[in-house]
Amino acid sequence: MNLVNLTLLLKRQLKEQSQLYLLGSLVLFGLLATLFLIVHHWRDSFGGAVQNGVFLIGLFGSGGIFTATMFQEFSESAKGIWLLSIPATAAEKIAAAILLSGFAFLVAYLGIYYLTDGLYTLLTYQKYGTTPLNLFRNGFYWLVCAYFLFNGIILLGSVYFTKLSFVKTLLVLLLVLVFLNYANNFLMGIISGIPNINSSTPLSGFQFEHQGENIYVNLPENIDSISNIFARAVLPLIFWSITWLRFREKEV
Amino acid sequence: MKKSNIALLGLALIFTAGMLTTGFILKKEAAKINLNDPLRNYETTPTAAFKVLKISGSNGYPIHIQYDTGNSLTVLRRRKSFLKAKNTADTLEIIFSGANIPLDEASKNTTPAGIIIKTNAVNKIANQNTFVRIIDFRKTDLDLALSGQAVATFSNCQFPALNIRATGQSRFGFDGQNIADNFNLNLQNSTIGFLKNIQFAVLQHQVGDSAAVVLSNQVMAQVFNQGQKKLMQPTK
Repeated sequence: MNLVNLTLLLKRQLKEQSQLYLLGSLVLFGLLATLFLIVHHWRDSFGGAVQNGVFLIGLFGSGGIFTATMFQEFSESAKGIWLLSIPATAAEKIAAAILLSGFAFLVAYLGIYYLTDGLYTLLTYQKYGTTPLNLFRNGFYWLVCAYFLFNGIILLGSVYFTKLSFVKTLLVLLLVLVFLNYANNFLMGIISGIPNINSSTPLSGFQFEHQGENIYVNLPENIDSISNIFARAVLPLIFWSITWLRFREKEV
Repeated sequence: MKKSNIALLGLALIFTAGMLTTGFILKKEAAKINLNDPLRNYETTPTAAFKVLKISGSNGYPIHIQYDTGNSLTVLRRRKSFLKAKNTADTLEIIFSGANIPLDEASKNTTPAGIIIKTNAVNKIANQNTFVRIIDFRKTDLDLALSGQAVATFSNCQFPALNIRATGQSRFGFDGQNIADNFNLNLQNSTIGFLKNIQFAVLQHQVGDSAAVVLSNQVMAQVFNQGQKKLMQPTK
């Protein structure tokens, strides 16, 4: 991989899209502020960790849309050919897309989110004792890491589907998640011999009902850590690699 | 077949193998759970005896403080990582973070306890922002300090002396049958005390301008009786 090419690709993207990114940032700020306004206005209906909720909705919503624009050229064959003909390798183009939509976006998002959260905290601290969201409390950063997995899936979708790639990727993701949920419940029931499993998370744990109470069965801590690392660090790498493979196949 | 499709198929196989492996590990974990144990979703660790208990965090899960023969800390297994406990000299400090629910809803919270603290020696509790239920205290004095958005409920307790100091927006109330021979109240800021299901011989109070005390019919009668007794006492 040539770092000069990578830098040039990033510069091109930023130069061509800078106006859009600036406007997008303003829209994101407005959307986050609106979400905070909604959860504050109907605070009795929105109990719990509302700042965490707003953070995740904003991150996955805007991050997904932003990631889907990385290879939007593929939606039109002429533009797609132009993208493929840019003098840089597939790996450099994929790396540029990951750097922009994965890492740079996350940094920009954190800035915009904390600006909005800061205003929310400022206005509500005195009456409600609100404090800014702490990403490191109770392992919340694991969910932030899950953004990279989501990023990998959306990037892969944008090179797999030509038309309406974002919508199609979300649809496939939804179907896979529903299937995984039922398949995992079924599998856990068969393996454990427990008949009334009502919920489960693949590679993590399950719960079953016993005399009206949910009993939780989780992986031992060390195995759970390995599972977390696989889901949040290894899986994104796998999806980014498959995206690269698919991109190369398009070149051929 | 294209390499990308083969890679996706490989990923699906790895994922399925992972699900099968975790299934067998979870089967072993499930076998360890004693379904007859009422605390089957909890994990208990004994702690050194403490006289002062400092609790802070959030109010999403109630914290039960129960008078008992020993000292122990029992935590909901799913929320184990949310708990930080530190024992120093005669003090047990607990931070139990997590989600917050609106203050008005906190005392109606029917969620199972996040932590159950059993103690045989505590006489001072400081609660900041959490929801605690103080249960079955018998014949022991207690100082309770509430701050921030703390909520406290007493259930079936008997105190020779009960001192409550509330600040911030904290609240407290009583369930079942409670007795405090000497009941000292100090309510400041926007605090609220719900005096219901509590009997007392002597009530001393300091209530700030913005604080509120809500009395039940029975407690109001006690307050008036106490006031009349004072009026009937000879003055110098």
